[in-house]
Amino acid sequence: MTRFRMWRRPSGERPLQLPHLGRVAVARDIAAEATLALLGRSGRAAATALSVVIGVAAFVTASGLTATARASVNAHFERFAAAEVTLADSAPNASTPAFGPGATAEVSRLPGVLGAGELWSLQVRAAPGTTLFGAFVPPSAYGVNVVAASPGLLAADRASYRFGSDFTATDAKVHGRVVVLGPAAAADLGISSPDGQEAIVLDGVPFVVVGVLKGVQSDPTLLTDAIVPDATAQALWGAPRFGSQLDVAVNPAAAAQVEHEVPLLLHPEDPTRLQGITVVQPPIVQAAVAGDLTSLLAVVTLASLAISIAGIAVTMYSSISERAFEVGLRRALGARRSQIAAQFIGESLLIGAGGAVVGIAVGVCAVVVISRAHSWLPVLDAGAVALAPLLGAGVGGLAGLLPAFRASRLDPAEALRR
Amino acid sequence: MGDVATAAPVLEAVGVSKIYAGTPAVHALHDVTVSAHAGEHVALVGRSGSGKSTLLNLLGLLDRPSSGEIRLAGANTGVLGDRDRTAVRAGRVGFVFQAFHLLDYRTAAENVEVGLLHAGVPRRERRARALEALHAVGLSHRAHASPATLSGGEKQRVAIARAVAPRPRVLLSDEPTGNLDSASADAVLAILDSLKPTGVALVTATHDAHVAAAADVTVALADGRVVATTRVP
Repeated sequence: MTRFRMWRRPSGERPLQLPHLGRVAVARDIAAEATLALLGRSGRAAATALSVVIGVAAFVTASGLTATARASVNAHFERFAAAEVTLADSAPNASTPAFGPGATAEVSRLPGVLGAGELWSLQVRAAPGTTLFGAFVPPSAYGVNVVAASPGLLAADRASYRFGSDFTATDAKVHGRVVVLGPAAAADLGISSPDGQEAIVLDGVPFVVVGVLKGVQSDPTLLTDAIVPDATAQALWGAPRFGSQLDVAVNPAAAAQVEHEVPLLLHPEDPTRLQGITVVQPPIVQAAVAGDLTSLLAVVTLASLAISIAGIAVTMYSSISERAFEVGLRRALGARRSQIAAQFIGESLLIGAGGAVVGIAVGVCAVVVISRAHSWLPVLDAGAVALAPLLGAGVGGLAGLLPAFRASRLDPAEALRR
Repeated sequence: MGDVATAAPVLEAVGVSKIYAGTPAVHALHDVTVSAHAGEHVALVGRSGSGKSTLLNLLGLLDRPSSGEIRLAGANTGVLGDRDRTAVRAGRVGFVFQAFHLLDYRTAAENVEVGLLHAGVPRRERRARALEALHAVGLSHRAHASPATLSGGEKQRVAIARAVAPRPRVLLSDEPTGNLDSASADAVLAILDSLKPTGVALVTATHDAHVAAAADVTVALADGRVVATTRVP
């Protein structure tokens, strides 16, 4: 509806009624003018929007690749992630062993179990004296603790090796006299680089060193121990007494269930005999990687925004000279400064939003192509994709402020002379 | 134009001077007094640099005089702020330029609508009034044509339609026939002449002797001063 505002003039003169539209109608008209101006100069608009396309495509690609990489990294971490359930015998006077023959195999078949191994301490010490070549063994070797472990234990504890490897099921079956040393035990015993011919003496019996640990992800006491096969230990020093434990590597999600099921499986008559403790490795590295990826995304986002804003601002600012007559004409026809500014901002908003839509498409394609090339599962950040048009419009609006201000300040008479 | 002499002018420049700051300052107009009544055609003639366009800009409220008054319907526009001067231009003053100043990305009808848009005419009325204005200048059949496909004369007629569609009280033309051949110039002149019965006050800056001859009043400017005012009897 046309409204009229009074031109307040000096007294004694009749007022002149000036028509003007309501704000909604003016806003709608400005939006229409901005749209038509862009459509009328589609080539220039496309060139102006190119910086937004690049910026938003970079943003969407970065967010998509970040999400993809995060998913891929998480999958890797989940593959290696494990919790450990340690079950200890709480019945010192029991007549039967806590973990009978076949216990390890039974537990290993439970859902969510990655590996299991039995472990107990032996009442023997690494003997002083000699290696196979008669090397000197320092006195501290007296302090090296010796434990018996089933062949799966070191795997369940996800041991890594400085030299050599774990003993095998065959070593245990034939009661092989082989030993794996923790790095501290190896240092105490003067074993630096076993080549299959170095040995230590346990209770007068020589054991060939087949491996030296580098580390274990759980049960760090193993780093100071000499570890021999359980069957060999039983053959030499008898069945385990009180104090044996079962280390079970499990998927973290199954840890509680395994801790509950193993006592029922092995001692259905008295499940309380086995006391379980669950330790979950904190995902420190995973969090650090996720943090790095987030930082990378933030940097790429800021850079892409800066590129977009600069691109639109420079292009629009430089176009004002070419459009001076249009500004002058509109001002002569009655457009207010604010309407001129609003039209320029409206154009830059539309350029930003339109560029963002194209940028999303380009970014999504880039994520899919790059992921496919690397055999990754492409993952798109839905939030980033949804945010991009708003981001583009915001970038456009921001970039349009300075050109809009300059255009609105053009002197109409001067602009019409150009 | 017998009634004109007695009626109050629609548009007046009273003792107007214009100095453009700079080194040295340019004294573009000196104490110029000009008036245009409703239905009267005033031609501003003079050489380039005589001050015609400067005076036209002042009369159209595109610029402010250094001294003197520009009066519209008897009211001093000097008291108005930028916003009100813009509103007065929108509702009361029409412009026709030598270079047409049509938006090349809009059709003829849409160019006319731009004038109506800034004059505050509601959207639903614009198209009808634009077509009506184009009909008045004999261009109904070119309403949907792009300016690029129009001849110079047609462009100027579209520009006139754009200027008169908001039904202004004053129509200011700056060399409206300057870029036209004689046939097109005659057509434009005829259109301008046909507006007089509607009560529009016409002020035209021109080098064209035919335009000056068709005017009711000729004001000759030289070096920013009015050197002669001739009223057609």
